[in-house]
Amino acid sequence: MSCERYDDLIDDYVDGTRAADRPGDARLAAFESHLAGCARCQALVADFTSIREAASALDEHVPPTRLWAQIAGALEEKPRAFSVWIPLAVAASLALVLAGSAWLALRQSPTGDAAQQVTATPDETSVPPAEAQYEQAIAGLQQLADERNAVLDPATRAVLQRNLAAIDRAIDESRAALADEPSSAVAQDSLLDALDTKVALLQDTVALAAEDVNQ
Amino acid sequence: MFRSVPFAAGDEQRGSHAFPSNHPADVRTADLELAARCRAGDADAFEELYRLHARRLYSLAVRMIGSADEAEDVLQEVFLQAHRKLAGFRGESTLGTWLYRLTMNHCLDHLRGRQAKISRATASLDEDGAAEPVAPAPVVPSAISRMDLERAIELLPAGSKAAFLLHDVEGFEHREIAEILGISEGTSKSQVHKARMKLRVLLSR
Amino acid sequence: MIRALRPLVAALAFITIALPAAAQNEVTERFSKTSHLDQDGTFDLTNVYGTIVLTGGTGRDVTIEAVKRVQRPNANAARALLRMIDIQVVEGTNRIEVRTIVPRPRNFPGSVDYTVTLPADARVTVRTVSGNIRATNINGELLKSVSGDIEIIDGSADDVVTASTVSGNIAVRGLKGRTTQLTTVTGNVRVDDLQADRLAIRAVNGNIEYAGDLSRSGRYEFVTHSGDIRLMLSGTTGFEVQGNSLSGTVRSDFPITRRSAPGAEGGGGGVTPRGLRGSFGDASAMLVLRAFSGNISVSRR
Repeated sequence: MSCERYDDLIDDYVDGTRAADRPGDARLAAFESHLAGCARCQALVADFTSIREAASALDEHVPPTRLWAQIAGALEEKPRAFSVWIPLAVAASLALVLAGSAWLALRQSPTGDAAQQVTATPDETSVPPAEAQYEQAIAGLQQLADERNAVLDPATRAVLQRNLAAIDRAIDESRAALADEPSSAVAQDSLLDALDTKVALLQDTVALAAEDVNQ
Repeated sequence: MFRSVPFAAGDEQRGSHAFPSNHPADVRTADLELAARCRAGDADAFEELYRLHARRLYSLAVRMIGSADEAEDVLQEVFLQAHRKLAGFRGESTLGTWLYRLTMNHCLDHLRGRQAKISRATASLDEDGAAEPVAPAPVVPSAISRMDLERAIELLPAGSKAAFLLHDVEGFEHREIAEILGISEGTSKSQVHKARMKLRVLLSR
Repeated sequence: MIRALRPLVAALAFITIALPAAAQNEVTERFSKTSHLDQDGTFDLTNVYGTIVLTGGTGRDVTIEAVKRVQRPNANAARALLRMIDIQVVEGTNRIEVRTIVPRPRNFPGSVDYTVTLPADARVTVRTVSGNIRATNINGELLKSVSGDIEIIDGSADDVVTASTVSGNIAVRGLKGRTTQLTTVTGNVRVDDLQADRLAIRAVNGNIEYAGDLSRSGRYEFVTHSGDIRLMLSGTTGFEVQGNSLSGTVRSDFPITRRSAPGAEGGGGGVTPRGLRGSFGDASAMLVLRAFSGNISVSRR
């Protein structure tokens, strides 16, 4: 077919070049008048145009955020220190929290009365239920953890989430048991244990992610 | 598979808008200034360089190599190399073109490393598509799905893939592609033509 | 698709997609440093990924050996990343701090494995995100990991020994300690031949096993939510015990002057508190055992 001699002009045409823009170009003008009556060349132009349009509309692939940090890290003179853990005391001061080692003081509940559960807060005049104190601490820590844990790598984040969920299940089971049997010391203790463990885990999560705060 | 992410508004622009085909003095001055600041150890300047170009270079690398992981490595190599070589940047090309050239070279190195594995697979695609009779009607859907296009691009041989990505996806002119790939403008045009012909075959319904 | 090419292109597409990831290149780099600590010095190590092995000895020397490791498809990139892992050792007054620096920990594909020898009387703190920790013959330590097992062997601690992991097992063997705290969320805890004044073990999903003697006037607390508690006791120390499982069984080999918890038999609802309360022998040690849904057993070793 005689079309093929114009194949090199098809791409220019598809890219927007017109004979009208190139008055001296006889070949281009010849091609355009050929195109008007040639189904084969029109098909090519149509297909090439679809391809070109689709190609120019392709989304960008976004490089992972860590990439810049890795590059910068290689170039910085003093790389940023990454402290995995901040002192627990600092984390503890970030939220109202019962002393982390409170549970070590063996809780004794001779009468099974929930309100008398011992906590390590030394100078309490009125005793808000231990559970409420824990909930408050948890809420504060959870918020901090949510704000910050994006800085952790996905695998670690997943481990922390999974285990937080395991603790939540333990909390739910304890609560359900307590609802069934309000005077059950075991259920009450289990609940407080689980809440305590949750606080500890959230503290650790916040501490892990806190390196951003220090920069 | 590729991680395809919606184009975020703002930020850099694509294709010929970002890299005007003429070479205005203000672009050159800006490039030299940025290069100078980078050389002087201005970390912000280098970060600016990264922010201006990383996305497009990464997209290019992902499509050239076909692996996000390796594309990441390439980007890293490119920027670390760029940092070292900025001392020698004289402004004959734009910073962008210069970075594209580095990126393409690394991508082609990666592909050559894999060549033995895929040479048989792509051998048939290297054949000149002009042997294929062209039907007298459009065969490609007028709206091509992104995934189909990305997959089809992946199957192109390195040379025409490079030219096609730079031309149709990134919006460079043949003159700029010639500079980036170290080929003539005529070769650039024929490579783009070959790519389009093959894609036409791969995408036809 | 043009028919002739359809199976070919489909096959090619399959080949392209099914290509195995380019072979990983692993590059490593060794790091080595010696230092020393006087009596009761402090050793503080933080790591991100990798194993940590610490051994206490009689000398005053501290040797820190580390292997940095990165795996990437591209060897050059692997080497560049390797260079980004920085091990910083800061020596202060009778104090050594080792910090593993990576630009950001997010998905950083590298690890550092540490082997440290140091004086047994050093106060050791180890914190890592992912990796096992083993401490042998150390006299006081805080070992913390998010994912990883912790093993403590021997050692004679006059200070608190704490091992804490989120996901991992804890094993303690032959330690002589004052106060020992072991916690895990998901994982088992096993203690053998511990001599301690106070021991507190907590697990959420995991079993707790204790084998060995009880210290006279020692206080022991074993708490797990879904997991069993097994005590295998040797020696002659008497104890007072309070053991409760909400839905598991509680049993003891020892004759316990037993008092059931309130509402033990035929309790209401679906919940039957099972209690073990009483004393054995001279009741000098104190045991608190609490399981929510697991079984508790106190037996002779």
